[in-house]
Amino acid sequence: MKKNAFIKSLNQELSFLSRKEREEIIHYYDEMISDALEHGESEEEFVATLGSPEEIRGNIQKDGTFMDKVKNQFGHSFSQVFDTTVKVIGYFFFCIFALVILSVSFSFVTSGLTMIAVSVYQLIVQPDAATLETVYQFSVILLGTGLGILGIGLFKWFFSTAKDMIQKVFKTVKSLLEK
Amino acid sequence: MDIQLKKGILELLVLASLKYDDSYGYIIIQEMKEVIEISESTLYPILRRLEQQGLVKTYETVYQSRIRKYYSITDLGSKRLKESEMDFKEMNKIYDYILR
Repeated sequence: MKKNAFIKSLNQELSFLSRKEREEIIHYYDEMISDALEHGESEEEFVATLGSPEEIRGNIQKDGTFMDKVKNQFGHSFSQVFDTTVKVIGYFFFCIFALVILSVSFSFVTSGLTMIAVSVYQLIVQPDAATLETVYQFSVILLGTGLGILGIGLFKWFFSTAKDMIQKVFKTVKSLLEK
Repeated sequence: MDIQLKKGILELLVLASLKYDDSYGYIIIQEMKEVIEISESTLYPILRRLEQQGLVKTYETVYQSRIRKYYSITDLGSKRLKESEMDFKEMNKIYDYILR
C-alpha cells in the first residue's frame, strides 16, 4: 500500500476516536512514513511493516489508555455508536416496509384491473361459460405472472441489498460488542 | 519476552534515547531497533503514555514544509531514568543468580 492509501484507510478505521486523538495518530504515521522515505526506504515495504490499518485499530481498542479516554467521553461516543446502529436498523426496516407497501399496491392494481376487465368483458360480450372460464384463467395467469415477477424481484433485492445491509448491521453490532 | 517486562523496558529505552538530546519518532525507533524488536505501531502508545505521565514533553517544528514532532525528556523523566539505573543494577544481580 502507498502512503496516501494507508493514511486514508487509517483515518476511516479510527473514526471512533475523538478528532484530536485521531489527528495525532495520523500525524505520527504521516511523519514516520515521510521520514522513512527520506532515509531511502521503499514506500510499499515500509508501509507494510506498520501493519494494516485494521490491526492498528485493533491494538488501539485493546490498549487500556485509549479506552480510558473513550470511557471518559462515554456518553458522547456511546450515543454516536447508538445513533449509527439505530440509523442502520431503521433504514433496513424502512426498506422492508417500503417493499411491502409496494407489493401490496401492485397486487391491488393488478387484481383491480383484472376485475374491471373481466366485468366489462362480461357486460359487453355476455359470453358463454366456456369463454368466461378461459378469460378467468387468463386473468389468473396474468396475476400469477405479476406476483411471480414481484417474488423474483424481492429475492434479488434480498440477496443484493439486504445481504450487504445485514452484514453492515452485524458489523456495527460486533464493533459495539468489542467496545 | 514477557509482555509486561517488555512494556516497562520499552518505556525506559525511549527515555534513554532522549537522555542527551531531543529526538523525533523515526530516529527514536531506529535507535531502539538496534537493541530490541519493536515496530512503529508499538512505539506510538508508549510515547503517548510517557507524555501523559509527564515523563516526556513534545513540541513541533517545521521541517521541509511539514510539521515534525520532537520529544524531550522532562525532569520527572530523568528522575525515572536514574531510578531505573538502580533497578537494573539490582536486576543484574537477579539475572546472574537465575542464569548461574
